[in-house]
Amino acid sequence: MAKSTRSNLSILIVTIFFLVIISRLFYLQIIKGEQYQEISRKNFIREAIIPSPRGLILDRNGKQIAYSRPVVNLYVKNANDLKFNEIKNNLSNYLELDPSLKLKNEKSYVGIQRRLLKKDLSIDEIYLIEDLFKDISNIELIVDYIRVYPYGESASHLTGHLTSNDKKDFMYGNLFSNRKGANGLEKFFDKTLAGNVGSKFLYVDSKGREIIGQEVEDSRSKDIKKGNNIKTTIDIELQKTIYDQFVNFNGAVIVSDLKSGEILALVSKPGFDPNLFSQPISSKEWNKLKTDKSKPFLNRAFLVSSPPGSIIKIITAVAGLEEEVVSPSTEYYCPGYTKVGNRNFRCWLRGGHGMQDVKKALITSCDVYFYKVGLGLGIKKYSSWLKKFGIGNSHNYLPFKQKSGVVPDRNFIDKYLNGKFYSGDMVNVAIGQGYLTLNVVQANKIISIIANDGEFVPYKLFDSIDQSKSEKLKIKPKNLKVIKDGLLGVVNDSNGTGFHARDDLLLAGKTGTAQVISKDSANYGYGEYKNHGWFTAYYPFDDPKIAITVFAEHGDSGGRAGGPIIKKIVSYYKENYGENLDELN
Amino acid sequence: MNLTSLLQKPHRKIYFVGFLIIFLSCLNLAFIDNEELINVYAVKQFFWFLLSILTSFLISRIRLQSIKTLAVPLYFFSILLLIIVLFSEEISGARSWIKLYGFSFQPSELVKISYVFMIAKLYSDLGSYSRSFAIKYFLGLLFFVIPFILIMIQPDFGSAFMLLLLSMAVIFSFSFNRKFLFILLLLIIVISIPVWQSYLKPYQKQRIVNFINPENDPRGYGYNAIQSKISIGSGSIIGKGFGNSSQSKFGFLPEKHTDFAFSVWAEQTGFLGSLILLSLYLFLIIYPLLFLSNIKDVFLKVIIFGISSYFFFHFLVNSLMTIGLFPVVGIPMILFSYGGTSLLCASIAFSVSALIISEFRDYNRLGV
Repeated sequence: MAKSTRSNLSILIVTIFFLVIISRLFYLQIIKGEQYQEISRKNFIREAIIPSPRGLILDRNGKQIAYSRPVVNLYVKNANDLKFNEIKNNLSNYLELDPSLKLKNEKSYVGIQRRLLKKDLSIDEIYLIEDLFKDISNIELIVDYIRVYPYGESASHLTGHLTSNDKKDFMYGNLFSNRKGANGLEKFFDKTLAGNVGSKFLYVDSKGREIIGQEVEDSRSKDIKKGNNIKTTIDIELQKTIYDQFVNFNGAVIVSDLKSGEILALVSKPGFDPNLFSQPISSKEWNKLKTDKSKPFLNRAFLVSSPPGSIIKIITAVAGLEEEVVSPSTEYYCPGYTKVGNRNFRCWLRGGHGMQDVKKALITSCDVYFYKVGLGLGIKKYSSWLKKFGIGNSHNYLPFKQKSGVVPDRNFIDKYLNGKFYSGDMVNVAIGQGYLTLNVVQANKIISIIANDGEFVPYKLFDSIDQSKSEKLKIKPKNLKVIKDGLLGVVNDSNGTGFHARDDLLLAGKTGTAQVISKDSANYGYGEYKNHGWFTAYYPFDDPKIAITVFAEHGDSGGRAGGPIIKKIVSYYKENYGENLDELN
Repeated sequence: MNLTSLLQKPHRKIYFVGFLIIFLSCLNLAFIDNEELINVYAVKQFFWFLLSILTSFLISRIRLQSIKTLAVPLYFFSILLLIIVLFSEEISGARSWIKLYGFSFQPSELVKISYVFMIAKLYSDLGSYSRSFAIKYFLGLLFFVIPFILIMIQPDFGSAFMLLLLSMAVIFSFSFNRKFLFILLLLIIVISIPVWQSYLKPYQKQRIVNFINPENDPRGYGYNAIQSKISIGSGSIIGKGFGNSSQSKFGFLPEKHTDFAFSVWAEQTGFLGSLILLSLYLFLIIYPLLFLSNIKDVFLKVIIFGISSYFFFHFLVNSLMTIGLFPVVGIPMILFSYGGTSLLCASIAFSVSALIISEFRDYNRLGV
C-alpha cells in the first residue's frame, strides 16, 4: 500500500463506521425516540389498582340482597426477606396472622413488592396498627371490598355469585373487588354493578420495589367510581320466608304481581351459599357443592321442566269451552275409569265422581271428565291452546337460562313419535301427564291469564325501560266465570283438592300431581319415584293481585306439599301488603 | 491567555479533547445512581482523572528516543504481569486483577499499549534491512499470540478480542500483502461454512442466533442489549437531563458504570449529547492520523497508527454493542467508562500521540 493512502484509507474506514453509528443513533433516538420513551416509562412506572365497591342489589323495599363490605388488609412493602420476617415476628406479638401466609408462598411473590400479612383486620386491630406501627413505612393498610349476600342460599339463583379466579394486581396481588359476576344478576348487570376501579401509578425499580417519596403525575391515573345499584322487584323477606318453608322436599316457587308483572319472589330450593365465592373457595367446599346429588346450582324455577299434572286441566277446560266441545252445563258420568280403545284409563278416585260438569270436575280434579274433553278436542286444537298459554315458549326477556318445555304439537309428533298420536296419548296429555312439560314460571302464566281475564302482563324483575307489552287472550266471560268459580271451589269447597291452603275463602287455584313413573310400577310413590306436586293459585278472588305457583319436587301431592306454602305466602302478603292493597299498584 | 490561543498547538488539542472526555465521564457517573450527587464511582473516577493529568504531564517531559528504548522492557514487563495475574484471586470467574495497597490493576489493559510500542520498535528495526513480509507477519503474530493466550487463560475474552483487532490492524497496515490477506479470508470462509452446517448442534446455532438477535431471549441473554437500546432510544433528541436517567437510576440497565456508560450518557443528553461525545472521539482518532504521511520515522508512524486503532476499536465495539449492532461483549467505552487501569492506559496513549505530534516540527506547514 502506498504510504500516502494509508492514512486516507484509515480515515475513510473510521468515518464510515462513525456514520453508521450516527445513523443508528438517529434511528433509535429520533425516529424511534417516542416509542422507546414509552417503553422506558413502562419499565419504571407501574399501575396499582385501587379497589372500588360493587353496587348494591336491592329488593323492592330497599333491603340489601347483595352488598360490598370494606375489608382492611395489611401489607408489607419494600422489605427483603430479612426485614419481612422481622416485621412479621414483631406483628405476631400483637395480632394473630393468617396461618395460610407461611413462608412457602414466598416464591410466588417474586416481582410483587408487597406481601399480604393479614386479611380483614378488625377495628381494634386497625387502631392497634395505626398506634404502634404508624412510623414504619413498610406497613401499608389497603381497603378491599368483599361481596356479601345476607340472605345467602335463599336468593342464590337470583343473585348468582362472583367468579373465583382473580385478576392479579401488580402491587397488591389478589383483590376481591376485581371479581366479576359469574352468573345470575351479578353477571347480567356486571357492567352496572362493577363501576370502575381506580388506578395510581408508582415509580418502581428493576426489582419491583416502590421508590418512595416520588409522586407520579400520570394522565392515566383515575379515581375509583363506585358501582351503581340495581333495584329488583323481589321482596327478599318473602323470598326467605318461602325458602324456609321447604323442609322435606326441593322445588321452586314464583310469586308475581298480576297488574304489573313484578316478580315478588323467585325461589329455587336447594340453593348454595354465594358468599363462598366471594373469597377463594376451598376445594373441599367446591367438591361438596359440585357432587351434591340435589344439584344446588340448578335453578329449578327455569330449568326444571316437568309434566304439569292436573293444573293443566285449567287449559283443558278453557279449550273445551271455547272450542265448544263442552258447555258449562255439559255433564259426564265418572264411574272411576273410562275405556279408550281397549284400555281402561282410571280416574284418580277409584270409586268415581259420579255426574260432573266442568266446574265440579275442576274442583274434584276428575280425570274421566277431562279425558273426554281431551278426546273431543284432539291434539291439534289442544296443542294450539297450550301454546296460547305460553307453554313451549321461554320468557327470554328475563336474564336467566330457561327450558321452554314440550308441547306435543304436529312437529313434535312427527319428529319423535313417527307421526302417530294415539287416543291413549291424548287422554294422558289432557290431564297433564305424558309428553307435555313446563316449568313453574310458565305454570304461573296460566293462572295469571285466568286471574286477569285473559291478560298477561309480562314478568318484571327490575325497572327496565323497554317493558314488553302485555298480551291478551280472548276467552268468553261466561267461560271465564265457570273456570274461576271452579278454581275458587278447588280451595274452598268441601271436596276441593286444595283445602290445605284454605284460609279466608278468597284464594283460588288448582292442584296437580305429576307422576314420575307409572302407577302400576313397584316403585311408585317412593323416594325419587315420588310424584311431583304442583299448586298454582291467585289471590284475592274478587280483585286478583298476585299469582303464586309452587312446584314441589317429589313432594308427592300438590295439595299437601304446596298448600301450606301458599297459605304462608298469602298470610305474608296480607300482613305486609293487605292494608294498602290498592297502593301497591 | 484564552482558550483559542491555548489550543493553537495541535498536541494541546489532543490533550484538551482527551481530558474533556474523561471529565464528561465523571459528570455522567455523578448522576448514575439514585442517590446524592457524590457517589463512589464519580469520586474515584475524578481521582483517576487527576492522576491521568499528572501522567500526561510526566509523559510530555519524556524524550521520544527514550520511548523507543523503553518499548522492549515495557512489553516484557506487561507479559510478566500477565503471568503474575494468573496467580491472583478469582473475581467473578476470572483472574484479571492484581491488587496492591488497595489499588486494583488490570495487566491486560497495559499490554495493548505495550504491544503497539513493541511492534513499532520491531518494524522500525526490521524496516532498514528486511522487506520480507513473512518475517514481519511471523514476528508480529508471535508477539501477539503470547499475551493473547495469557489473556485467554484468565479468561478475559473481551480484552483478548480487542488485542486481536488491534494487532491485526497494525500487522496488516505495515506489512500489507494482498495475496496473504486474500488467502487468510478464504481460509476463514472455507472453515466456517462446514462447521456451521454439520458440526454445530441446533442449540449451539440457536445460541449464535440469539447472539445476533437478542430479542429472541429478552429475559436472559438479550436483556442487557434490549435495556441499553431502551436507554439510548428514550433519550430522544435532547435527553432526559442529568440525573433523570430512569433506566440507570432504577436499576433496569445493568453494568451502567462500565459497559453501558455510553447508554446512560445517551439517555441523559439525547442525540445532541451523543453527537458531541461522538465528535470528540472522532477527533481523537482521526486528528493524529492526519500527520501520518508527513512522519518519516516508522517507529512513530506505527505508534500513531496503533494508538488511533486502539481508540477506534474500543470505541467501535462498545458503541456498536450499546446500540444493538454487536453482541454484548464486556468491552467498556474507552476513556468514558468507569475503571482506573483503562483510564490511565488510555491517557498514556493519547499523551504519547500528543508528544509525537508536538515533537514534529513542521506542523504549521500542514495547515492544521
